[in-house]
Amino acid sequence: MALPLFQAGQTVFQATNPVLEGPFFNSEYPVLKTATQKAGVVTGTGGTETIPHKLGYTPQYLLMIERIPGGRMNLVNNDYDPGGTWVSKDTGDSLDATTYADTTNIYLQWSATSGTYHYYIYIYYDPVSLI
Amino acid sequence: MSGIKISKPGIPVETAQPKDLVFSSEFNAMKVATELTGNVSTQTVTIPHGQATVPVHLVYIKGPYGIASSQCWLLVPMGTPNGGIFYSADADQTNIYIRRSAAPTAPYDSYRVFVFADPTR
Repeated sequence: MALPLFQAGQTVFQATNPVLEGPFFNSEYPVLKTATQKAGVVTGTGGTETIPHKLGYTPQYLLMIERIPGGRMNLVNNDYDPGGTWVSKDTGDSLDATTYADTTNIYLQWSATSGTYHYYIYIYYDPVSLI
Repeated sequence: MSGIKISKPGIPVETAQPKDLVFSSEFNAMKVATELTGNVSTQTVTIPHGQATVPVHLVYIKGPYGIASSQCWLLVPMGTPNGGIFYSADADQTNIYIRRSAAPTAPYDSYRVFVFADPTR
C-alpha cells in the first residue's frame, strides 16, 4: 500500500507507519463531510416529512428522532417491512419511522400517536449514488 | 481563509467539489467519542456514554439471537427475519439504552456502540 499523503495518529503523528485502526485520519479514506445539520419537528399522527438537501445527488445522511414526545433520540433505520407492518417500535414508544432519499430530498415517513416529535439530521456531501 | 483541504486522487484540490474531497476542515466531520462493546445479558442494557449532550450513536448487534447462522453485525433498529427478536436503541443525556424485545438467554448477543461527539439537539 502506498503511503497516504497525510495521516494523523491517535497520540502521535505516525505517517510513515500506516495502520488502519490506529490513525484518526488517513487521506486514503474519505471522511463524511457534513453539508447540513439541523433540527426539525413533525406534529400529528403521521405522514411524510420532505427535507430538501439541494445536492443534486443522493447523499449519505443520519437521521435521529424521538419515539415519544420530548423523549430520547433514536436512529431512524428502516422500520417498515415489505409486508406493511412497523417492526421496531418498543413497548411505550408512540412513533415508528422510516427514511429514504433521492437526488432532491430526504424523506421521513412516520406514524405516531398524536404529538410533536423532534428530529435531528446530518446530511453529508458524500453521495450514496450520483444518480 | 485558512484550513486543510485534501482531494481525491486525480482531482485538483483548488477546484474540487465537497463530494470529491477526502477531508476539508471547512465541513464538520463526525467524531467518534467512544466505542463500547459487551453482551446483551438483560432485556434493557444501559450504557453510560460520558457525553455532555444527547449524542449521535450507532448500535450494532451480532447474534446468536436464536438463529445459529446469523453471525452478522446488524444496525439497530432491526428485527430478525425468523426469530422474531427486535432491537431498538436510544439515548438521553446520560446513557445509551439497548432494548431487546424479549428477555435474553445465554449465549448472549453481542453489541458494539459507536458514540459520537456530535449532538442530536
